[in-house]
Amino acid sequence: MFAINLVAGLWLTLSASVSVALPMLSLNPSSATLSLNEAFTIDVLLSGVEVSDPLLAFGFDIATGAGPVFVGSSVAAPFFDDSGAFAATDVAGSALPAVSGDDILLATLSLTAGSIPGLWDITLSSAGAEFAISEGLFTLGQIIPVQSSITVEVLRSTAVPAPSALLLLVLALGILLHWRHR
Amino acid sequence: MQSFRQRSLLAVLTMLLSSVTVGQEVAPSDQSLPDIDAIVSDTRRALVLEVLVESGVASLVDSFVSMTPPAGYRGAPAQLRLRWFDGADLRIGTRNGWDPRWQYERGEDGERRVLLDSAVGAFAIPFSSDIARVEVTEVVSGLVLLDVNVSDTVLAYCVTHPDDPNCDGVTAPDTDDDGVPDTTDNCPEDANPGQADADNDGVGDVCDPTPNGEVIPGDINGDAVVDVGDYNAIRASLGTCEGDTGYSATADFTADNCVAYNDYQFWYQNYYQEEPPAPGC
Repeated sequence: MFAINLVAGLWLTLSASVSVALPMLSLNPSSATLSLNEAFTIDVLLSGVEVSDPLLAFGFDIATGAGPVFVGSSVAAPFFDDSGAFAATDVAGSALPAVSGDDILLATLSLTAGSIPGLWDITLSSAGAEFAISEGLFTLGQIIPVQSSITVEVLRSTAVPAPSALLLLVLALGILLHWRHR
Repeated sequence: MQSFRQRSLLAVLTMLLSSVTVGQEVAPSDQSLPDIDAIVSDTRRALVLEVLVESGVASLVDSFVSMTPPAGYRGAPAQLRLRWFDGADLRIGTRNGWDPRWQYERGEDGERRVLLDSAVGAFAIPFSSDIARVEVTEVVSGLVLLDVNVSDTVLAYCVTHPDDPNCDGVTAPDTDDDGVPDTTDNCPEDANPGQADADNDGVGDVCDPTPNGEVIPGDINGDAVVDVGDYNAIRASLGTCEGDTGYSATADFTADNCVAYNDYQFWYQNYYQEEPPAPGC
């Protein structure tokens, strides 16, 4: 009896997990290792969007900490860029008709690495007052929170600085004076 | 036989008397009134084209039929040439005209001609219900400045003036053959001689999806269909709240006084019922 219950419980768990399968958001940076102030982009992709529950619109905010700087975004077709309509949302787009499938490019984010070396988390989220209004993944029947992040490393510059022109001039003058004294 | 002096005096007196007569008021009954019957019976009409002429190009501003017959142009040299054609593109007539950019300017040193950058001129040609196309060309260069179809203007005049003998044989199109011309038919493609329109929305009952004025959920722009026009209406209001410019209460399905993606989601559910997306979309 216990075994039957266990099997039944497992079945219910599995079937429940299938029915509530949520779309998966992924972030694909042009480079995960960056030099100071280097410009880079992040593609925001969505997979697992069912035909029966297609994506109508999306919106999220971007947090980069004290390191990289968010410069702007480009919402990908077939979505229309609605970012300008929502003052409190960084990136927003909608489509008609709605979209389903895998590896759907939502937007490409443009950033610069900033001037502080280190490891930095870049986070996309809809965890604010705008959730379910202009932020989240709006499908035909659901509003799904957005929460995804990646870590990029900003390296300290290792290049040896070349001697300045002034130093070279002083050095040359010194050599010249020394030669004339002799 | 009158002497020369007598004849001169008579002439001076006659001139004085005539000048006095001109200066006097004339009783209304004595005024020579225009011959109204002659004007009414003058069935000559003019097709007038108001044309904006700019350097190397011209565009039609307006076209209409005037009750005043076109005056003939006898000046020379001609700057523009108008030619008009029938529906089979056979030339009906030709007339010369001035370039309206040339205008007279009066200054201290007298009058002189100046060429403006652009100007609107009215060109009148003898009206005929056969006219379908008018062409305006520069005489010197032969450059076609304007080539315009005037069929709609001619038809609109003849539909509203069925008694004008110039319009004999012209009948307004009636696609559904219900006796009501397309231009005034409230259902041009569905026969409805009675033109019944229960909700008085201008669309006849036989072709009105909402003949009794029903409200269709999701129909923001009120055209009785839920389509991309409504999506555009929502997008135009996205991010606005009550009191903001562009806010639309009809797009605020959630009644939270703001238009956002939650309203779009609500709208899409209505749209989806009408036009579910094809698999793979």
